[in-house]
Amino acid sequence: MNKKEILEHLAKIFERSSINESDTLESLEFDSLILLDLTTFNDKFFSDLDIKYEDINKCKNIGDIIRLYGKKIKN
Amino acid sequence: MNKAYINNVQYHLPDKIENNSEILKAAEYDNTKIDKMIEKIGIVSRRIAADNEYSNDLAIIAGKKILKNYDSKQIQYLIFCTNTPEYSLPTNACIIQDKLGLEKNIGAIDIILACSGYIYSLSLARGLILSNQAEQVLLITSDTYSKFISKKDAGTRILFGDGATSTLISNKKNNGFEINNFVYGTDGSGFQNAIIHNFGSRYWKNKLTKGDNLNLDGPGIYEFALKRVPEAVNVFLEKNSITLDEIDYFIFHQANKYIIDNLQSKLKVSKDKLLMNMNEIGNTSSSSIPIVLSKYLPKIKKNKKILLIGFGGGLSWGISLINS
Repeated sequence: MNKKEILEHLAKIFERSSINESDTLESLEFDSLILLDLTTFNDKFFSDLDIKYEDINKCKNIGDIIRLYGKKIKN
Repeated sequence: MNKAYINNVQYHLPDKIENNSEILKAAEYDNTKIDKMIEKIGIVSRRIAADNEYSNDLAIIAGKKILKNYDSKQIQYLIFCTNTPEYSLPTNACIIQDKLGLEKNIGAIDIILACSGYIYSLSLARGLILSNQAEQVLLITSDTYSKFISKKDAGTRILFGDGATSTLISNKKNNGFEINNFVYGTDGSGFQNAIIHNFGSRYWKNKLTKGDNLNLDGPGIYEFALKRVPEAVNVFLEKNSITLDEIDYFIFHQANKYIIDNLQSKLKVSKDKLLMNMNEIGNTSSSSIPIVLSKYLPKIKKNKKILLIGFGGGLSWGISLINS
């Protein structure tokens, strides 16, 4: 999955038409339900990275979330 | 070789109904996304034990429902599963034995387990029968989580309900379901994910603030379930040389609709194979699977395979197959 596709998935999870790396989670009204949806997304597409929900909780913006996927992001 | 059968399942819920709106009002909950949350968890109301009603009280009523049409003298072992025991000492099963008028020459034990409790209790009942230690086992589950969830904690209170069940397990089939093999799983590293700190001896004399209540790490439990449950189902299928398609029905622990929907999706189980009963009952811990069984067992035709999947606090999980 490339960065554009990840952003599209994240936009759906945050219920936005589009989303940017600089968007803060606070401005996107991040809550416990979104946390669960992100956990589901990570399990479905990045299960081998074993990203914990605590890792998501530490993120301040969308860019931080994307960085969790590291080298798994395709060009 | 002996076989063990589930021949009857009954349940009892307390009278008092608690709706979501009451919970949200009591917690002064102000969240515009609450409708979405309610839709996702799939629980609109639950039954709550009265102030003077405890897990043994519910258990005794559930037990009496089985014994109404069955000779109590035939019961040779009583297993009582709870995570909200009325007493730490004595064993609650002893009290229930007496209140149900069961014989004195029987075994009676408590099992302290949460949402996987029915599976583990069922495995013990089957073991007692297969090893000729008992011919008839009465298994009772009962919990009153409402007593351990603050009315201010709407996010947790909205998930749980109180209730009790009774299951008659016998060595002879009587319109029942044969209990087959099991797989088990345990990961105590996650013990903090669902805990009532002050309930045991550790904090008994130095109680923690807020330690009287259930401290639930919802995302932690969800993360665990999403990882471990599908793995365990696949291990079970492989060990028993059956495929997912050969299973006719699935009964997941009724944690909430969100978890079950995602487990169903991850396992690629057809939605019409899911048996559910939580909408007006909530998560009743070890009672949740037998409550679903009680609703559907009389309607299920012969030669059907039902996979029972329990998971929750501990962390603990277990799976069993029953056949009609």
